[in-house]
Amino acid sequence: MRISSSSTADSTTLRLHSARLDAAIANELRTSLGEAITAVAGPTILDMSEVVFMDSSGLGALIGALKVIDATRLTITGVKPAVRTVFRLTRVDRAFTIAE
Amino acid sequence: MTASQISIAIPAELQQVRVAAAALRGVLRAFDCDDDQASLIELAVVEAVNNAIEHAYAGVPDGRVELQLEISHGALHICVTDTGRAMPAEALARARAGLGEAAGEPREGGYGLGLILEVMSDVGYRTEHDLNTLKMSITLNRSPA
Repeated sequence: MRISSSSTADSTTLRLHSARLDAAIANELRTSLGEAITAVAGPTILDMSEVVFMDSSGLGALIGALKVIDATRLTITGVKPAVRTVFRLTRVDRAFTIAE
Repeated sequence: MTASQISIAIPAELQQVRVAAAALRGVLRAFDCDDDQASLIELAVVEAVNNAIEHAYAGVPDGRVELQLEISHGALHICVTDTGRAMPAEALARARAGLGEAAGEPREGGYGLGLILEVMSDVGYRTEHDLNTLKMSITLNRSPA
């Protein structure tokens, strides 16, 4: 899956270019996002605005990829309602900063 | 009105789950299910089908997963069936007991059954004659006309 990166003086944004984070791409997501995020230093924004569906496999891959960095320097943005519901129902929203 | 019964069957491959999900969304649209609820139902069904593929059919070739949808009196009843290995008897009870837990670092897996229980009603599982069936129901919210 494609992940693009853009930077400002303050932060780096990683954008997930996939409509579905599901079991079919979970392994690829874990690897690609893990590599992309470890290459970033400083405040990081994960832009999920293209993601319209996420299942628990996609969520698990996301957690696996993101746990390599300090969660306090990460903000997740662009979270659509169906995706936000998965974060909420699993209580994983308590572990990450998810922007409104 | 006569109950509507629809079946969707896919090969037990993770890449095929999106096909079943798209077919399900089509059925839900035809019954005017509102979009937010359709997303939740899709989530529960995808979790059930993923479980069948990843656990029941782990290492088993040529499996199939079938969804049987029945819409009657404003409720959707779903059965997800497979002929793979049965889920351990205590799995549903363990998932039920685990709802609401959020201690420490988030874990990377084990959310599927919990999500199904959060979203759907009357969730049950049985194995008869080598056929595993996860059943679940929900009252449909119709989108505004």
